Amino acid sequence: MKNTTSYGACILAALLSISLLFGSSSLTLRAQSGKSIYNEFSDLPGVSAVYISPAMFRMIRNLPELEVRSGEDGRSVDLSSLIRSMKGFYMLSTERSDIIPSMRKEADKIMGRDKYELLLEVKEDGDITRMYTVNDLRRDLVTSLILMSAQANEFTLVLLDGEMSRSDLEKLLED
Amino acid sequence: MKSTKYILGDLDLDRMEAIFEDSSVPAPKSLGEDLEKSVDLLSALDGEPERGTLHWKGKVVSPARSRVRRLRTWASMAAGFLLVAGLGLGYLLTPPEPEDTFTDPALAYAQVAEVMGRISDKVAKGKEAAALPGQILGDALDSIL
Repeated sequence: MKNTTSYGACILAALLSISLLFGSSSLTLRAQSGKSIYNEFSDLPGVSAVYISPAMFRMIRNLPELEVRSGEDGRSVDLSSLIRSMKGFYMLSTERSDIIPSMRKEADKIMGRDKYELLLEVKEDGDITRMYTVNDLRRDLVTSLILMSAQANEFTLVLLDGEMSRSDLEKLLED
Repeated sequence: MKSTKYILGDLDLDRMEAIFEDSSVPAPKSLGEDLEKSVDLLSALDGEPERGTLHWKGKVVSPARSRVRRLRTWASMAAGFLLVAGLGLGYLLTPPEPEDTFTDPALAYAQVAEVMGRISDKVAKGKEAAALPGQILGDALDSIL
């Protein structure tokens, strides 16, 4: 009886290990989606890539407040509070027609996941712009924002991670 | 005394002595070696064999305890290997941390601000497009009324 119990415990330990193996693998893949697409395309020739790490954003928080002029009409928007709440920034842009389909496919995979909500979609003269967000409803924060802009000969993907206040984001979108 | 019974079957010490003193029957040349092997086997079992152990010609064959021990050892090794493999796989599948594009935080800030400005422009265009049907409808109603 004692030997049977020990043997059963070993089998249970093996099954738990298998579950840990697959669980950790799947979690790893899901958690690193923005980083993985950046790593996949950033080194390719003809691809412009910008990465700003959480450490750099901590340094940005120490900068004095800056008012940014944006838009074609020169209107000014204060983005300091929003930028200070960011933790990671990935941007990929390319005009290579052979890379755009694969980059778009990878972006669609990320945005197709349940946690991403489509915030807006703008279609104009064949150009498509989509914005997705991941919301933490409990804390009323936006933890991730993805902007995808597909034009005839250019594709741009921007991924922002952080704990952005919904009110700050709405202010940006309204101004 | 119990161990000799298992080694030699039904023989007792008196009979063993009689056989020893009877020099007409030569002892097998491998007797000493066989006895040593049997004693070693019993020592490995730590005394009396347990229930489920098979005996044949006084020798112990496939002890149940050893088989369970081997299975337990293999199962433990398999569980440990799977755990290490899982951790290793998780580490290998984790993408490496990219390198910062900017070393100056002011430049990084400017880049982010530019992108946020572009996002704002895109949203403004969307709002204009969304407002257009309402405007058209409003103009139509004004002309009717």
